[in-house]
Amino acid sequence: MVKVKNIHKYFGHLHVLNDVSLDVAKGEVVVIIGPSGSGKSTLLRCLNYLEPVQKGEIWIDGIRLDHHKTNIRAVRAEVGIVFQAFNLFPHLTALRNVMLAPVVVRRRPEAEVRKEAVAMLTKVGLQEKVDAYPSQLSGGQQQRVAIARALAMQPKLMLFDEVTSALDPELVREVLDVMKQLARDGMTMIVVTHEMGFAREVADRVIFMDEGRIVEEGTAEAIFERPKSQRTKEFLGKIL
Amino acid sequence: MPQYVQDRLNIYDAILFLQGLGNTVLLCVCGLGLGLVIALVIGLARASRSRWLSWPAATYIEIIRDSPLLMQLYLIFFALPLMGLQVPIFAAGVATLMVNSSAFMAEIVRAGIQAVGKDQWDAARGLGMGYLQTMRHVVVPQAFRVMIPPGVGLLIGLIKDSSIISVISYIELTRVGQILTEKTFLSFQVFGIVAALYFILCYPLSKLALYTERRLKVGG
Repeated sequence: MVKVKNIHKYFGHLHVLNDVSLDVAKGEVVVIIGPSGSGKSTLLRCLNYLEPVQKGEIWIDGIRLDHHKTNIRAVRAEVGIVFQAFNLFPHLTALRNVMLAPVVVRRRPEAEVRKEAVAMLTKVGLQEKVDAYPSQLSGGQQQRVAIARALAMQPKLMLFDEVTSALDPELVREVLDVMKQLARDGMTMIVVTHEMGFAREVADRVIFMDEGRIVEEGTAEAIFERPKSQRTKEFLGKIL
Repeated sequence: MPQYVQDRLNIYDAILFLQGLGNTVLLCVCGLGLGLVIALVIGLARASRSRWLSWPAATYIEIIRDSPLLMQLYLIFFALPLMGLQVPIFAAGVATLMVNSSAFMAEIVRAGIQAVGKDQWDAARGLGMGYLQTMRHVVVPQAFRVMIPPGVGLLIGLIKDSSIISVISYIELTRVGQILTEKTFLSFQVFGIVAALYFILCYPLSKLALYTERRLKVGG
């Protein structure tokens, strides 16, 4: 599903991704952890070309991500991304947020999309909020709308970029529950998070990143209980 | 024989006032309407990341903004004919207002577009939306909200500035005022009425702006 081969990314002189390679199989849930500035969010953003890479190859579902516009658009339509700050469209209702891309990008009929969008919002527990604007929703609700919006494109892969970090603690669970359900339904997911409980419960694989490199990867149990690298130990010691 | 001087305004003058008002409205609707269309294009170009679009747009905006409206009118009405292009009075008035307003409005369009955050672009692009799709469905609707207060302020200013078109003898409100004072010497009454008529044109716009702003604020 995802094949990343030796990518390098620079912001000016800053080497944010240093020779990162990664393979994710269909249906796999991969959790990426690491200190801030380790490049994990950047890696995620590179996977749908919100950030270009300077070297290396990225393949998503058999399509090479390069400067070719058609490829980029095609890949983005297949890859859902959810952001830390929700990034909902504030001038549109929850329903319209979810409907926009299927109607505009996929050019599907509104009536059909509307039905699916309502179903999608129901799935994330927001059937009563379809007509609410983002500003009328709590952070947790907004994030669930954002997840529904990404799912409405029927993506093959979902990227989650610290999606619970901006939420009040009591709202974190409702979002994680939606993500757990998604994982159980067999969605391929790459999740950047600090929620170690979530990682333990649903991750098939945990990747620890530091200073733009993948330092260590393995099952959640292996990483959390028997970390090999000193950096991983130090990091886990600080957050667990 | 002593020359007859009209010492009060009559019904014919009233009709002339209304004609002037009508012509000012016509001038502004055409000139500012066309200006808005051009401003959208130039504003988008100005906000573009492509240098080949943004620099020409910036140059256009600066040249127009930093030269007097009256000179622009003179250039179009008096200078173009010297190059063999005769411009009728009304067309010259509309063209001047169009050119002038497009530059100022383009800046407002640019500011509005740039006020929409990068997060919105990320979200739209992340969903597979292209540049024009994002502009149309995500950025412009939000930019529009930001553009209303300065946009209406500008519009009101331009409506009043349209009085300058009177110098090429287009019979709009201000020209009517000049004609009637020359005829009656009732400058106080005549220009009082002219000013009041401009007020009647502009005041509803202010109100409309407030109303639209409030209505669009839902969901803001």
